[in-house]
Order: sequence, then C-alpha cells, then structure tokens
Amino acid sequence: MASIWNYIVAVILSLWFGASVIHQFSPNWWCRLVRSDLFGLLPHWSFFAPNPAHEDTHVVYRDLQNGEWCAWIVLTARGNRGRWRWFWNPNRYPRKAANDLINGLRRSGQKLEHSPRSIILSNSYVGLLQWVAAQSRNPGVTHRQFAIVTSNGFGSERPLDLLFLSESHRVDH
Amino acid sequence: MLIIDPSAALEATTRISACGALIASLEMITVRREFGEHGVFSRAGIMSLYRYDEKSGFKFVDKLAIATLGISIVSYITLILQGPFQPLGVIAIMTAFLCRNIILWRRLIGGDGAEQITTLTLAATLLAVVPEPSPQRINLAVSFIGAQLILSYVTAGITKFSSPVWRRGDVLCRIMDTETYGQPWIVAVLRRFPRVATMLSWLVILFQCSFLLLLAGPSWMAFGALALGLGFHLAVAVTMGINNFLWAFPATYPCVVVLGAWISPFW
Repeated sequence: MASIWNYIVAVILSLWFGASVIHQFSPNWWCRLVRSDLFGLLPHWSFFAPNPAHEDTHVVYRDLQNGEWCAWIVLTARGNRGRWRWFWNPNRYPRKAANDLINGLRRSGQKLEHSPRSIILSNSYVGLLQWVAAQSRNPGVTHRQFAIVTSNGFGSERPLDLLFLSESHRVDH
Repeated sequence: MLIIDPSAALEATTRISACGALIASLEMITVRREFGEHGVFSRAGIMSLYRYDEKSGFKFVDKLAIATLGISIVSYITLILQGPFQPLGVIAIMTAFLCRNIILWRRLIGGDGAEQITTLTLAATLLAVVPEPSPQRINLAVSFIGAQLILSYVTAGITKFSSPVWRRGDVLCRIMDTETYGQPWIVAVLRRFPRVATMLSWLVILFQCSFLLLLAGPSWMAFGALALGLGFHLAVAVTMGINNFLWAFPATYPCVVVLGAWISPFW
C-alpha cells in the first residue's frame, strides 16, 4: 500500500512540475484549461520581467456633490520607506492588490482596443468600481468617478500622469 | 563527496518557509481592515472579481477569514518548533496548508511569487509526510522543491534576457525611482554611476540564466551561486521592501543543495 502511495505521489509531483513548466509559456489552450487556478498552485516565475513596474500607480476618486466635482481623493496605500521594511512590510498587500487590479484593467484596455467602452464590463473595472463605491460619501453626492494616475520619483510635488478615467457612476443613497 | 541528508534538507526548508509564512500571516492580520467593507479585499469586491452571487457560499469563507489567519499562525509556530516529521508537525502542516488555501481563495488578489513557492513547498512536504514520512517521498519532495527553484530562476533570467528594457541596463534605476519599490538615495547613486546600474542588471540576468549550470558544477560553484542568491534576495528586501522573498526562496536552498549533489558529477 505504501509503495502505491509513493508511485501516486511521484506521478502527482511529476505532472505538477510539468504543468509548471508549460505555465511559464502560457499558450492559449493552456490558459483556457487552467483559468480557475484559485490557489495559485501553478506558479508564474517572471519577476519584474519582461517589463518591470517603473512607475507608481494610484487609484483616486472624486464625487459630484450638489452639481460640482469635489477634489480627488487618493485610495491606494502609500509605499513604506521605513527602515524595517526589509523585514516587516504589511502595506505591500493592499498595494499589490491595487496593482493587480490596475494591471488587469490595462490588459483589458489592450484587448478591447476596438470597443473601449466595453472595458466597464471587465472584471478589473468592476473590482475597482466596487472598491471605490464602497468608500463613505457625504450627503448630496450623486455621482462618483475614479481614475488611475501614475507618478515617478518621490515627494508630494512629483508630476502625475492620467492613465485611465472611468465613467461617472450614479450612487445610490 | 558531500553527502546531505534529504530529510534534514526538507526539515530545514519547511521550518524556514514556515518562518516566512508566519511573518506574512501576521502582516495580513495587521492590514485586516482591508478585508472589511471599505478595503481592497472587501467581500463584495472579491465576489465581483469571481462573479460570485450571494448564494455562492463565499460569505461563509469571508466569516472564517480572520479566524483562519489566526489558526494558520498557530500552525506555522507549531511547524517551526516541531518540524514536519513529528506527529504534531504533520497536523500543523496539514492545517497550515488548508488555512493558506482558504485565505488565498478569500483574498484572490495581492499575491506574489514568494507565496507561490511557499505553497508548493508546503504541498510537497505534506505529500512526503502523510500518512507517515517515507524516504522515497522525501526524496521526491526535495527534488520537486529544488526543481521549482531552478525553474523560477532560469525562467526569470530568460524572460529578463529577452527584454530590451533589461538588456539596456537602466531598468534598476527606473524601478528604484518609485515610492513602491525604491529609495531616493539608491536612484541618486545609480544615476551617478550608470555603469554600475548596467552591470547589476546584467549580473541578475546572468546569475538567473546560468543557475542550473552553476548547480551542476563543482560544489564550491553551487554554494557560491546560493550565496549570491541569498545576497540578491537580501538586497531586494533591503532596497525594495520585498521582504517575503527573503524567506521563501532561500528556504528552498537546502533542497537545491541535495538536488545539486544528485545531478552534479563533480560533487
């Protein structure tokens, strides 16, 4: 019985490693096959390649209150530059999550180049909108809009570039 | 000839991985507010990404999330103290693996390569020790973990080599010029010495691409490569704040050493 289990484990680990190798190339048929890898059991080892992040991305939103747009509010967590971040860096979770959503939006934007408005149906747009819509709002707010802006360098004076501007969405009270 | 016991290697790998996973779980507890109504991991937000409806049962997973994090912390501490071969350690590794997957399912986004290699390490160790540890399955798990590390470095190296941005050599300066991953003083140094920046990016590419060859060489070469790898992860943690990679990847090095001893004719 023990030797059968040994063989089964050998087969599982061999198949798993083989699948991991194929996953690095991610051919289309493979992507369709493993679309629901919920637990990330198939690794993707590209680490900052081929095009590493070379800008900070920020999710911002603004409200239309009593007919006028209010100031933009930053939603994304700030990067941690503390001296202990090599050991303790909890903020990387929300930052990475926001980046995942933004990168998803970028990919959807590229895929839907010919019908740009359909992006509002993409998962990442819906996820970002859900996050933005969940923030508290003042009385008199009728619409909310979000944007993705990018920046380079450090400090509050650095210039920002607009990467994406959402539709204006009506909010329910 | 250098002989390294695969069981000792797997035990070391599992304990170090558990240290990294423990820190990661504590970090997640720190940002638990992000799992609330207004956070980036809010239940409604994640459900919209999955396209789940209210009847999907995801509410139940959500209710368990923080408790699951707590249980996983206890499991990792037990694993660090007991190792994977004691009965309590086996229970701990099973619990840790289960909790880990519940949390990943609940969180969906915000994961990275360090999480993935830790998941693979725990899964392979679990298969080696359940229902009871067997030398054959320990060897298989050690080979699997070592092979995944080699695959990760070589894939990352080849992908970087195929990228003009990386080959041009200014990539580190561009990454460091961000609040998320950089530090102003490093950008200043790299801008002042652009050749150093080019040299460093090529060093990363060459190190990762040639990792398998280095491992197949004499033992001093393999240990040199692993020392370089450890230095690389330490530098990445200090300069870029990617702290979990410092635990997750070097944790697998004991398994890589065993694999090196098996595949290299020079050891």
